[in-house]
Amino acid sequence: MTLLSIISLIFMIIGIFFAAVGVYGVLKMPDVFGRLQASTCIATMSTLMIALAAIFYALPHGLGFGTVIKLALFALLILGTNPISNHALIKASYKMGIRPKKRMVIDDYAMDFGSGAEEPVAEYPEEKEVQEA
Amino acid sequence: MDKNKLPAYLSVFIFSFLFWELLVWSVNIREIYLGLFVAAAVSAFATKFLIQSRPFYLYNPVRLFWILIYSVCIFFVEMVKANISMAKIVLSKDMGDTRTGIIRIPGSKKIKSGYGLAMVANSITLTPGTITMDVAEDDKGNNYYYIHWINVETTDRQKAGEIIKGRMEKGIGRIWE
Repeated sequence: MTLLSIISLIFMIIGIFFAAVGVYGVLKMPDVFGRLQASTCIATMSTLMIALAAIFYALPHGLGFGTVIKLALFALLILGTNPISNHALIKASYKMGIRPKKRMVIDDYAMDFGSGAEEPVAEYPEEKEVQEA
Repeated sequence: MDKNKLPAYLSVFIFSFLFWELLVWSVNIREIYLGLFVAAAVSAFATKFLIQSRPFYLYNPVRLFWILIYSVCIFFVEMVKANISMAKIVLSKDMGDTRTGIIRIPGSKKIKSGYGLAMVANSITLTPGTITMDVAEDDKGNNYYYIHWINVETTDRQKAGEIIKGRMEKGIGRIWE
């Protein structure tokens, strides 16, 4: 075990821990919004840490600088594309009339744009369908 | 706009060629020819989406330096902190205890350009616990972000803005205006 491989292992453990937290959050959260929030853990911390681990793994194993650059670009690509999809998903689900299960503490979006803000959707239609099937 | 076209094309061309070189990572003459061809084709399509004004704005050592500082010293630290607090919420709290909400926070007066707004919004989305829903501008020219916040600490919008994006927006203010 060299120093670099130990560092690589530590980063890998951190990354896998946060990926596990993200998956657990996706399963545990009650609504779409919370699930998206929890899934951000996977996209940011976990991806970055695993890319760092791979970089530290690639250096002593003779994989060359090209691999390191590719891994860094891969992390940047995920960091660049993930927020756009998250933003689109959360806005679309809000506009469709899905509301958090618990009453929101503050809802400025409904106050300012006010589309169907007064009648929160009581039940979750897609979960009902799953139960019937 | 038409006079602006060639510098914009050149700027995107240089960017895509450098990106190609980073991906390929070789100085073989065949790769370079292919890269020039691909970069020319890509920038012919992508210029009008990427560049609206001031094509060489980012080819500035000071701004590149601030991008590096921002992404390593500010954004990374904020991201780690937010990840740890998100992990705490997921692992320890019963979901009944979280106070979710959508809050409108005022944007900085310095950042007006679309790139800056998008970078602030995406940075907010990338820190777990906050997702930007919308960016809106009122008739006086102030920008507002609508943030879905998983655990609302304060409903005071000014303070919430400081908590959510305080340091990140200052860092971005040095890159984009």
